[in-house]
Amino acid sequence: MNMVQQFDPAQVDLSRDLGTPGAHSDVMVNVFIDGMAVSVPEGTSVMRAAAMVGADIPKLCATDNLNAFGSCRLCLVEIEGRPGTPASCTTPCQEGMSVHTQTPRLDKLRKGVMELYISDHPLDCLTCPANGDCELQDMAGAVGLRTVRYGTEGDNHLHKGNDVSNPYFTFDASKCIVCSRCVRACSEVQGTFALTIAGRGFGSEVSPSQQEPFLDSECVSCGACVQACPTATLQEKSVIDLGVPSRKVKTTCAYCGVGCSFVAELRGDEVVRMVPDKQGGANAGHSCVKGRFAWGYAQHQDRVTTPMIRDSIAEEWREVTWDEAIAFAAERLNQIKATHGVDAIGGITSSRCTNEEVYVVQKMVRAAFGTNNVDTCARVCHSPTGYGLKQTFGTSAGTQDFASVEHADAILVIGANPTDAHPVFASRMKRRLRAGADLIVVDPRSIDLVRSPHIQAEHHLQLLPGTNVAVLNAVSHVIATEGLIDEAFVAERCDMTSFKAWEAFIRLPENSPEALAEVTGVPAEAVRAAARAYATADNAAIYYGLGVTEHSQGSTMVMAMANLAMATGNIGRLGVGVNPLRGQNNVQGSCDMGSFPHEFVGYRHVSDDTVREQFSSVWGVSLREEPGKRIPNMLDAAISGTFRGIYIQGEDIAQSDPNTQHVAAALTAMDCVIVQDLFLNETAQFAHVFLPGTSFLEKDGTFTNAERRINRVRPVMSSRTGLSEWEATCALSEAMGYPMPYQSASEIMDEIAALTPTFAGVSFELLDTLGSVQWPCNEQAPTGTPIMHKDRFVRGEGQFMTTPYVPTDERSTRKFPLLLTTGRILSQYNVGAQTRRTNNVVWHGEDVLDIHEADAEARGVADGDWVEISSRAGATRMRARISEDIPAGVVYTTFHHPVSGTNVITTDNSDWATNCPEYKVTAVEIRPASGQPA
Amino acid sequence: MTTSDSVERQRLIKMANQIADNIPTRTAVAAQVGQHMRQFWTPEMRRALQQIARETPEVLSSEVHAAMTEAL
Repeated sequence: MNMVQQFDPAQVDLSRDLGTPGAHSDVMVNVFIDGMAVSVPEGTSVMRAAAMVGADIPKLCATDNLNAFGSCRLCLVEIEGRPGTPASCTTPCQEGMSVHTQTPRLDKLRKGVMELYISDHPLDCLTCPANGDCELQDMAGAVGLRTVRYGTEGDNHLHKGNDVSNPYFTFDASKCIVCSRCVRACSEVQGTFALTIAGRGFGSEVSPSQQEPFLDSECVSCGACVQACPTATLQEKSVIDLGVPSRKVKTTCAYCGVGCSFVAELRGDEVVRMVPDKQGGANAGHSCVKGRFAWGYAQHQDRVTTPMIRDSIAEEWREVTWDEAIAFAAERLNQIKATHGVDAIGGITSSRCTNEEVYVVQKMVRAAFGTNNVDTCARVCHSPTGYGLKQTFGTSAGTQDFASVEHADAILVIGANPTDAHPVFASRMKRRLRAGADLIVVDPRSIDLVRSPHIQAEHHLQLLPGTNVAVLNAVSHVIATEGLIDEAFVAERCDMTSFKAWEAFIRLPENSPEALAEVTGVPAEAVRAAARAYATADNAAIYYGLGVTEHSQGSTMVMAMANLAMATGNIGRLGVGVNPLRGQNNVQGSCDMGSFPHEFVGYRHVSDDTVREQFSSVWGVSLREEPGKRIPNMLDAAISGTFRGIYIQGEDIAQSDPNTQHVAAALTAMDCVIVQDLFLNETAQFAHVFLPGTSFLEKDGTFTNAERRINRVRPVMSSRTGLSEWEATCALSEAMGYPMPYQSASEIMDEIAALTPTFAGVSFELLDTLGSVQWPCNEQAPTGTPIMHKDRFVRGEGQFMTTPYVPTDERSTRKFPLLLTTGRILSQYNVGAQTRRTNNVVWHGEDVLDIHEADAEARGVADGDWVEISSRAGATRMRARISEDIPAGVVYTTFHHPVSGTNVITTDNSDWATNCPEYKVTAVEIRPASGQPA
Repeated sequence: MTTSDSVERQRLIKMANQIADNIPTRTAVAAQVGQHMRQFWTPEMRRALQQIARETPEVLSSEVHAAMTEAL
């Protein structure tokens, strides 16, 4: 061994497929791979150790995001002192082991194995869509296969059919080598267990559900199987149509708040496919049906790519140049300012736009418009998160990174449906649940997590809509009265005065599960059991969604959860925390960027003289010290005639905001509505100026996901509009008299960093180096902060807030006896502007109303019938679906299709602190109807 | 009072009373209501509420009234 070289593990390129997953151990093992010394964590496979030193061992069934399987028999190695030729994927390294990966004996064995595979595989490489991107082809080359001695006369699978039912990928069984990678990906990575191997021996074949077509099976089209497939068996249709990609660009998904990293693969300027990036901090190589496949909207024929104007909304649109549109918009806004004052105009930022785009819009409103009338679509989703977490912890953000869930022992999911709305994070959570963590679900509906393959919620508190705070008060009551408070944590980390006040409040008999059972509909013993499970777990984590925030007590509920986490010491380390699952990809970012009317960037109040002077100095303009209008205030003022012009960035308030009639009346009353969007959305019906927006595939900037992770969004294809959105905003600002002469998105981020202590260390250069970074990122945390509040809360001591339960005004009555709650489904996204323009419509072509059998029967409604849904705000129609997922007295629907008019029936009730609409509780009545209105 | 005025007025009344009902810590509620309004409401909204308090005091809760007496 005098020729031994020591390999440096830091040299390993982790973007390569190392064959098996990495091991986690502090104990290191020294082995020799073809004479090269390498030190690896105990548990590392021989295959991975070999790949690390560049001695790639041929493989087919192994890939490093799946556990070793040992079935293909191609990865055989010889180990000195051991008999036989073990599979390197399933053989762990042991101290002093000396492995040989290339020997004449191994060459012969591998060739023999490959020969058998190829003997039952179509030899159509030249016309195969995976030609050049096929591991089977690569391995045939790697083992030097030159001939196949076996003919095709005997039994084979070459006649097997091609399942093309899925809109995005095909399953060509004739090319399948039954390596089980797809089956394992569906189980281990996605956690759906839709695939299995049916039959035995030669008859073994991949089977979606019970040998059904993919589209009819339980498959959720996450794409994990397609990614895992080493052949063209599971193949993207886009690759079949367009060919193998020739270049790659890393970017970030534009759908939910998970913020998955993707590698966009292109031919020229045309996207061929989006492949999840295994180095992605948020998704670690996984994806869902939206991010993986539903990106076609970016090139949809409905996209408007030319600016348009019109004098009144009764007129037809006129296509104009950018210069004309900007001049028209500026003149109108300036005219309103001159006539009605600066407070008569304002703007709305979008959580679908980048941090840089949002930043310039709020800057334009504050500096060029001269008002703080800026708000964001987070108003209607997570504004209570901002309020509640700032009051208790000191900052408006989730406490953990996503990977933290892998260390949770009890997981409390409240008002969230992760498998549908945050599917990639849900897969991570399900992996932990399958490993044994307890699951507590607080939701009126039996969401998928309550019972799905290999997962059963230990506790499902099926509360009545609108009673979240009552349930959580009851949970905390149990913890306080049964001696389950972490006294040491509270004493060390929290404000004791507020704690004592909270403890005295929560111990009141009126907060007991027994006292509240009638209100909440949850049996007291179920609450007590769930409370004990949460409080006694080593690590307990809370994950929540809009089922928490979109209530009249949304902010109170956020504080109630923060109280619970502090009282039990579940803050400041791996596996715990309070974690909002953000709806849109950049909700966190749009809030961070100063989109709220009372705050500058970084959540600093406009009345803070020091902060305001800092912004005034850098922006070179005097700034207002009073809060501006929120969206509902703007709409109300529009109806009363005092608010007359608005700039709406990437947001469709006419569909997404509650009480559609009120929104329409407000927009109609304005003199200048400017909409910047990809499509002529519902709001554009009321607009005078339409500025074409850019899709995420054209943007250059950053998104910040629900774990505060700032990810780069890189331009994948050339702009379809000729102007970046931030450039259009800057042009409008300049036309109004306030130039913002940025040269690049990177320069905008530099200004954000200079003005924001939590972003002080952020730059495009840093992001390009690290891949992503979680704020705070500054001198104290130069590579970011995965877990917040580790040693102290941002506000110093954690602040307990008493949380009295105040019932919503929106209650069931004799006239409206049912409670409607709303949500999303997997295949669609928010108002559907993007997903309705993709093949995802095959799964959800219309919104339907889920109704309990008893409620349906009492009203003479059968499954599939049209029904009218009426509330005190309005009425609409949709089809009914009898569902076992909801209790009697509750109905449920989605809001993905404008024709459904879901928000025609939601009311203007809102959260007391933030005006976040109470979408989750609307008293309604259902009656049979003859059909959908025109 | 026009219909549109009434919409805005009703919203302010509802918001103010709702804040008073929901302020988490139930001590010095009026002061907290006032602070909340200074932090999140525009000056115009605060002035409009003061006018409502003067003209139709019965529509506002006692805590909101008490908050109105402070400098908004």
